[in-house]
Amino acid sequence: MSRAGTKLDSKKVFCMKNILRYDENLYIINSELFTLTYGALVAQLLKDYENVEDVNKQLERMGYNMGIRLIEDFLARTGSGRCYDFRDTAEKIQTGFKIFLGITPTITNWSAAGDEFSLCFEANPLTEFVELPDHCLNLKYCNVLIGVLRGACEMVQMEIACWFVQDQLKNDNVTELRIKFIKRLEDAIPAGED
Amino acid sequence: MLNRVKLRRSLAGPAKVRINEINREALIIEGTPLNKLGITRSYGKAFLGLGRLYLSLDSTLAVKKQMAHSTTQSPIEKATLYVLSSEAKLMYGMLFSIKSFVSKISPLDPKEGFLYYKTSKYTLHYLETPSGLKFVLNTDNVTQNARELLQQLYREVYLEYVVKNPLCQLNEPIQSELFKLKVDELFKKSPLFLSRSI
Amino acid sequence: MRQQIIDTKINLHASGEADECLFEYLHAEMVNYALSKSCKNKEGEEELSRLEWMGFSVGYRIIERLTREWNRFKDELDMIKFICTDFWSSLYHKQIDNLRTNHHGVYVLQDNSFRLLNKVGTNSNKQYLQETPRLLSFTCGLLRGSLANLGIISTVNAEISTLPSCKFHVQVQRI
Repeated sequence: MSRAGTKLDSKKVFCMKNILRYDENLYIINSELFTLTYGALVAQLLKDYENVEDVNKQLERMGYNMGIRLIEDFLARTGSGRCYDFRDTAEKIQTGFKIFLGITPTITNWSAAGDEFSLCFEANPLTEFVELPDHCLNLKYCNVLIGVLRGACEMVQMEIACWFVQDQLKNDNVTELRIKFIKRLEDAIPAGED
Repeated sequence: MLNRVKLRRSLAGPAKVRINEINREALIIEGTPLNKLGITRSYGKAFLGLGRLYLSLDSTLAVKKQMAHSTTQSPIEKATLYVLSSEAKLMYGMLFSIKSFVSKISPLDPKEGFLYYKTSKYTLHYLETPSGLKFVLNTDNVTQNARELLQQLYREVYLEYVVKNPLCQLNEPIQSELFKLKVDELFKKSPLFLSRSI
Repeated sequence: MRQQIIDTKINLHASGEADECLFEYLHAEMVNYALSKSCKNKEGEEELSRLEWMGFSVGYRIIERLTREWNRFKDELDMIKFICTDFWSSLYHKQIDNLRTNHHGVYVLQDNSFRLLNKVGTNSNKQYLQETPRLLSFTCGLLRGSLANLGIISTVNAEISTLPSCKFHVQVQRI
């Protein structure tokens, strides 16, 4: 720990800073562990599949599986109840990004019917160290997010579709994720009833 | 331990502590005279002392998951294809009916929905998470406010030892021994249990 | 850019340790993926080289970031000690509980409550013991990758006798 905060003069501040720096460091490492691990996974997928489309699909599928667990985590952590409308949902998704990835995407471009919106990301920890090589320009590097959202929403009885409109990795200014409400899923009716 | 079992007898009438193999869908601790729900061997032992409490982590999630994976069949078809054990099915059907009844007679949009019901013999406490997980706990009529306990069960046990256990699939019956252990611990340290076991 | 990221992380800390679980969920999915891609070998063991390899490449990179403010290490043991303390607590929130060595290139790192195992089982039962190697493969790779970047070529194996504790055997390859 002594490596942190050596430039500070007051002893008291030094101690405080020390603790802070240590946590900071821990958090950066934690998020870097996630970022790097995700990167290694994408690299492995690119190695395993010839077709980039298959990689996108696989990432989505893995995201879905993560989403159905993450939603329980989210619900238990926030204690939030059902959404009143889709705008409520949008805010909760935004909160989710803040909790789990530490970023706050902006909610914009609502459709007139209120069933479709965009999330815009300025910073994205997933892509922190990433640059796409020429041969995988079709790769949707962050496709795992789409799966996560689909899985999580499905668990709260909501079917959604989402897709990337813009992607910073493809030299767009922001990464824009479009989310569309499809329908509500109802509880299965018990067998033998109508 | 013996004492507690005795206590249970006097409260619940002739004790029929059935210890069957786990029924495939629901994880259930029994101890009320009303049900014939299944129970695992080790689970049963751990909970003999608990007597009046039984708990079921409902299987509807399994149904939902099945639906989620079906692309060719309609959700309902797929759901009915998935054979629930008869007890879990009965329980699900009953809760389903009560829930829709409650939401129909409520003048406002019910936030919490159905919380518990009480008969002359027992009380059924119910917690449904927005993700559709259903926690059911049967107690005697003295026990009130088991909701907090159920919420704890969700937050501190289900989330930690099922959701975060990579070897537990969410659409399968919970098999984890550690999970059972933690449920046991949670209930045994709960005031609801302590106040009764003296 | 870097400053910005640091800020978000501090906010995060205030709201609870939320992003940790993200790695765990991702890891679980990688395990599933590796299993779906692998076929069992002759001894009926799962083939986990994909996980090991992913671990290796993460380890190789992450050690770079962890050591950037450190002085050079004295010797091999010094490096292993660093792995047991700072490295381990950065990644898994606790230090290695026990380190043993024969001073000839064999190190045994024991963690009594390994982060990726402590939600899975306790010592009171033997459930899931069969499945646990798949949860350790990534970390074996992580260790091997980190050591490789520090200039130590090694093989790493994991051993579990009772959950949630496990041992990592590091065998240094002398050239």
